[in-house]
Amino acid sequence: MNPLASAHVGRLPSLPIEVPSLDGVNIDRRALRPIFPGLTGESAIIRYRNLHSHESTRLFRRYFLQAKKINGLPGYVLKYVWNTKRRDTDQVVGTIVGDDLAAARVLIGNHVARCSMTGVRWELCEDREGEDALGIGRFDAWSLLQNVSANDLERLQQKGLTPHFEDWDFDRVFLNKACTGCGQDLSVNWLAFNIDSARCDQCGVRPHLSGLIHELLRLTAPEVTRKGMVLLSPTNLVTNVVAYLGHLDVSLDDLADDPSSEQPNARKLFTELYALSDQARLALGHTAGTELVHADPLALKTAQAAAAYIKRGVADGAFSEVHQKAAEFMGAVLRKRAKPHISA
Amino acid sequence: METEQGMAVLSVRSPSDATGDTMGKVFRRVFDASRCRERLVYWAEQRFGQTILRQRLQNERTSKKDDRLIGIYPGKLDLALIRLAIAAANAGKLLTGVRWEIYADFACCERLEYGRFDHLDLLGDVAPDRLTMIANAGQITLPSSLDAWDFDGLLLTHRCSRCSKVCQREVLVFDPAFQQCEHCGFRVTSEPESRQTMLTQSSIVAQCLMKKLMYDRSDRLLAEDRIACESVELMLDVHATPLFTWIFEHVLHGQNWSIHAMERGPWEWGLIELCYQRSLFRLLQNPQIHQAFCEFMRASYRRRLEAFQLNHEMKPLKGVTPEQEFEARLNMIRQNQEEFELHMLAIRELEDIVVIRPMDRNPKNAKVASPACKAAVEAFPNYLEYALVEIDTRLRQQS
Repeated sequence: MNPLASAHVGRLPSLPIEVPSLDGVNIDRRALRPIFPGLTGESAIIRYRNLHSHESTRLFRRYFLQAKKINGLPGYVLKYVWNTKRRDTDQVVGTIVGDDLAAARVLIGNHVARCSMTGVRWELCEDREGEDALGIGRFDAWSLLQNVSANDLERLQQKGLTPHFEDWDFDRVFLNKACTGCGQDLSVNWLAFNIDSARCDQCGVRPHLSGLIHELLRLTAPEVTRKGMVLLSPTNLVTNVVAYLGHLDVSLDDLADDPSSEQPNARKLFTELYALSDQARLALGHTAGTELVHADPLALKTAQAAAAYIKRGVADGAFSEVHQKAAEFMGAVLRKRAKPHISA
Repeated sequence: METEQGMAVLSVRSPSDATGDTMGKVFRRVFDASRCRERLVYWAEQRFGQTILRQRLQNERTSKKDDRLIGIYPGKLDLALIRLAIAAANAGKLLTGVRWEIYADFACCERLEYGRFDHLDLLGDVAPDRLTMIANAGQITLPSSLDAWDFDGLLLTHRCSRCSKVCQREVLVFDPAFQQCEHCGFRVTSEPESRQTMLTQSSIVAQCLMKKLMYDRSDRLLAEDRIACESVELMLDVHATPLFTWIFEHVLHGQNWSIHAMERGPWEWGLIELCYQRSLFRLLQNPQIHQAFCEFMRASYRRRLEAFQLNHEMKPLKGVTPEQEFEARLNMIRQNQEEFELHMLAIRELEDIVVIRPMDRNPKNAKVASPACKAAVEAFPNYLEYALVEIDTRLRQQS
């Protein structure tokens, strides 16, 4: 009986090649915010691999080795079985001289490079029917290069065969985008981190965040411009945006403009929006006061303090976790669901 | 799965620890590996210093290509590794009443091990250090969440609607209507808010259960050495029957029983029918099984009456003598038995309502269930529960 068995699955299997950071590339690691505390890029990938293990996968791509002389030397042709019932549809993936399973694994990886293969496993067999299997695994580098050594890769490189690791993101774990500030290529592990927290390590721009805030503010642009249909209340939007920016510990300066976009300046739009809500007597403190006029005086005081804090944050242009808490509290007040005993 | 900074911690805890001993023990006794009606057959072969694990999908087969390849693991045959691979291959499925078997040859004659699908049999005597070593080697992907090891669906069906902790440890089957959580004290009352909370959560559980029931079962083989396969007790499906009752009560209640009407709703008629087909209601349309189940339950009521008459302990109540109290309780058991007989008669019209009438697409020909039929369907999770407890009692007496 084993009522409590625990194992520490700390690391992914080692790879014979140099792997870029599993958190992301060209990003400021300190600014990254995990989806839940303690999650790292590596542990997120381990979880994902466990969830989509090749043992539980029903779909497969079968590759098989067909013996053939290559330039007079004994070798194999690696073929992909496109249709198990029609032999004439088999696709040739590559040729291998000698018994080189490492080459076969690299060829399989390169064959489906840039494809999304979650939920599909690969099988390498001696025969087309799959009676004698040589290897099986899921489509990722840790599975494909499991029994491949660094010497094998060096040998293959001399023959002109290299694993295109940058294209082997078969689970689409990394979200790639060019920085809107300096044009540098960024990638972030979206399984582990809030992509809006990804920040370029050169110019500090948050490319994903800018897009998101632009999109949010676009909804209220009619309120500012007085044209079109108003979709959201400006006051609600201000509290939501402040709470989100506080969670990510960013400032309004981070809302960089996308040069390729025709959208208006995000910072200017946000400031106008806040001013509009103030001008329309929907200022946060005033609203909180009217909502809590018959409530606990302590809660009223707390709400006013929270509103004042948000106001200062908007003026300074920088937000922190305290702003997040304050904005969340104000949001609750505005939704008329605030309870008197809640404090900011 | 808990996480630490830079390290993911795989914690394979006992579902029975989380759900209480009562349920886990009863399930292990009633659906013991030696009494299972269905099985999943795996066999391992040694080749080039590797162990190749395959699953046998059909009884009649001529070559290895007819089997499903599960995994290839370096080294000699390691049963601990094979068991973990089987767990990974079936993670998250409902496999109550199904056992796993490992053979050493293609013909599946030399059986190495077998057991039921739970952490006790699958993990066996694997020490935590060994588990860590296997996981770190990267040859196998271990199911890391507790729900993945919940092959009996106990963690899924026994969650509180409010705090999501495991509750109702003494109840065996899915029955949210009588829920009271021992952690937060939540219970379903007549208040609309509590009822809505229960319905929302139960709807999620019901949809999860239905999805799990839809899993392909074509890889299951009938157990050849089943002792009493004809007996209805081995055919009890602890998930489909209460799930159909829930759907009947909360989704179909008061509606026109036609495909035409159901197609406009959020629940697919095909899924509801599939759930019915796998439930005890469908089995009971067979006269022989109906008779066997009635006999089984009558014997159960007789035993309960005898046990009550022998071992009753009446607490003195105000204004009621112990004799009166004894008589009242005895009458209650007898009344329950009479109700059971009526319900068994009423349940026969269910086939007509659920399967035959909906085939007619004309809404005018649809039939609404009679009050007796509704009462019978709603009482069935209780009968299923009684049946499980009765089987468990008999097994304990035998042992």
